Amino acid sequence: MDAPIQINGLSKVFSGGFKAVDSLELAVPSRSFTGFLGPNGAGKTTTIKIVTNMLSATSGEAFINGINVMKDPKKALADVGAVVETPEFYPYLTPMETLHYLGSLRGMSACEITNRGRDLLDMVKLNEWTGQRVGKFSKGMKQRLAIAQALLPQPSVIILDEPTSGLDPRGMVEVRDILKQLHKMDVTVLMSSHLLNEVQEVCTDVALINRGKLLRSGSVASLLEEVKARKIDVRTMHPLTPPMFDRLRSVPGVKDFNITGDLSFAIDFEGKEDAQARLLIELQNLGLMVVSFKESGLALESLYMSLIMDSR
Amino acid sequence: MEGANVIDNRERLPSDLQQIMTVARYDLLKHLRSKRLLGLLIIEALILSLIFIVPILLDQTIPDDPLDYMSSYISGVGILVVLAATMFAGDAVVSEFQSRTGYLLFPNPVKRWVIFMGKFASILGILFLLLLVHYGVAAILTFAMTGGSTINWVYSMLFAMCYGTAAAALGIFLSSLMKGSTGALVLTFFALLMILPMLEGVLMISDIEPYYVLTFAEDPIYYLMYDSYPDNSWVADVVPSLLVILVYTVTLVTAGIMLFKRREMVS
Repeated sequence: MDAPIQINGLSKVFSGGFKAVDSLELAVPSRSFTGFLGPNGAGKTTTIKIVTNMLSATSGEAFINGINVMKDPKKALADVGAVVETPEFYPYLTPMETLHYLGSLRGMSACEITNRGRDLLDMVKLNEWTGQRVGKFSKGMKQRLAIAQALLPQPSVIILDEPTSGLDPRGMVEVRDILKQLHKMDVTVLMSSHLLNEVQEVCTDVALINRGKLLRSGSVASLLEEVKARKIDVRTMHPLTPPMFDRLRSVPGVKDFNITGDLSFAIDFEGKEDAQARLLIELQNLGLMVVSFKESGLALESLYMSLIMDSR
Repeated sequence: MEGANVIDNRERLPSDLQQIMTVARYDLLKHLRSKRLLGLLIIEALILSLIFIVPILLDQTIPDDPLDYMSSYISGVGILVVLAATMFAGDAVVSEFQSRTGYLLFPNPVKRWVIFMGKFASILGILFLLLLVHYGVAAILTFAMTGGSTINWVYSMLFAMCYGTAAAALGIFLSSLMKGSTGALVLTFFALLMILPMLEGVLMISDIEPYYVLTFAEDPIYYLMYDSYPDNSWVADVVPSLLVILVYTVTLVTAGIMLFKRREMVS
C-alpha cells in the first residue's frame, strides 16, 4: 500500500437510504496534486469527511500513509492537514492563538508554532491581522487561515475540500495562488472541486467521481490526451474576416471555429502540441497579429461531461 | 516551507491526557473571554450585594454568629450552579456542530472523548472559580460584619463543587444529545431548576424519598452551614448525596461521550 491515501470499497448510506458513496476505490499517488472532481452531490465531501474522521463509513476502509482511519484516527491523521468545507474559527482567538491551539494538539512546541505560524500567516497574507480576533474576519480571510492551519504541522498529506468555494473573485485568486505554492512542497494533496479550470490549472492528477463511484483517475495530461477535440481561444489585433475563413478551415486539425468577439474567436481543434504550434504560425501568416492563443479548460470539461453522461 | 516530511508528526503526538489539558486550556480561555462569564459575575455580585445591603437598609438585626450570618449568602449558591451549568455546559458540545467549528477541530489527531473531557474540565474550572469567588467574598463579608469565621463554609463549598460537577455533567450530556444550542441551554436550565425539583416534589407527595433525584442531593450545601447537621427523615445526608452525585456524573459523562463519538459532522 504505497499510496498516501488509499480508499478501498468505501460506502456511505445516510439514514433515509441515500447512498452518497458507493464502493469507492481510490489511490492518490505520492507527491501528486490530485483533483477530486465531480458534480454537486457526487460524494466528494462525504468521502473527504470519512477520510478525515468526521463521518463514519457504512462499509469499506480508508488508509492514510498505511494507517486505517477508522481503526486509529489519531495516528492516521497525525500527518494530515485538512480544510473541510468552510470551517468556522473560534471567534475569541486570534490567528496566532488558533495556530497555537491546533499546533499544541499535535505536539508542536510553542516556539516552533510561533516561528512557523509567522511564516504561514505571511504566506496567506494575514500577517497584519495576527493580533485581531478571528470573529471579525471575512470568509476569504478565514479560508486563508484554514489553509495556514492545515500546513502548520508540515504534513505529508493535505486534504482540501473545495477551498475556493463561496469566495469572491479576489478571494479565489488569492487562495489559488496559495494552492500553486503547494507544488513547491514535498506533499501529497487531494483537493475536491467542481471547478474544472481550477483543477486543470493546479492539479497534476485527477479522479472523477459521480454518484459515489470512481469514473476515471490518472494524470491530467494523460486524461487530456484521451480528448481528441480541444478548444483554443484566440485573441488578435486584427479581425478574422470572411475571406480568411476557408484558409483557416484548411489548416490541419481545425474542425470548426466560432467568432466570439470583434477581435476574438474559438477554434475546435484536433491534434497534439506540434499541430497547435503550426496552427499558431498559420494564424500569424494570415496577418491577424495574435495577442493570445490559449487552450481553454473545455478539454477536461468535455471528458468530464462525457463520463458523467455515460455514468447516468 | 519545503521541509515537509522532515518532521515525524506521529512520533511527537501528545498523549491523550496532554491533549485533554490543551483542549481544557483553550476552552477555559473561551469562558474567560466570554460575555457569559461577565454576566454571571454581575449576577453573583448582585446576589452578594443584596444579601449584604438589604438587612442594613431594613435596619434588621445582624447575627453575631458567623455561621448564621454566612448562611444567608449560601442560599444563592444553588441558582449560581444552575446558571453556570447552563451557560458553560449547556452548549459545549453542540456548538462545535452548530457553529461549524468542528470542521476545524475534528480533522486533527485528537479523539472525540479527549475533546469531550477537555471541555468538561474547562467547565469545572470556571464553575469552581465562580464558587470560590462567591464563598470567598461571603467569608470576607462575614468576617467584616461579625469579626469571626467558620470552617463550615469550606465544607459547603467543597460539596457545592461536587454538586456542580454533576450539574455540569447533565449540561454537557444534554449538549451532546440535542441538535441545537438553544434547545440544549433551555433544557439544561429547566431540568435543574424545574423538572428535577418537580419530580422531587411529586415523589415526596407520593411519600417516596427522592434521594436518587439529582437536585435532592444538592441540599447538603445548605445543611452543612447548620450548627449541627439535621437528622430528620428525608434529609439528604452527605455520603449518600455524594454517591448519587458520583453515579449521575459517571453515567452522564459516559453517555455524553458515547453520543459525541457517534455524532456525525453533517452540514
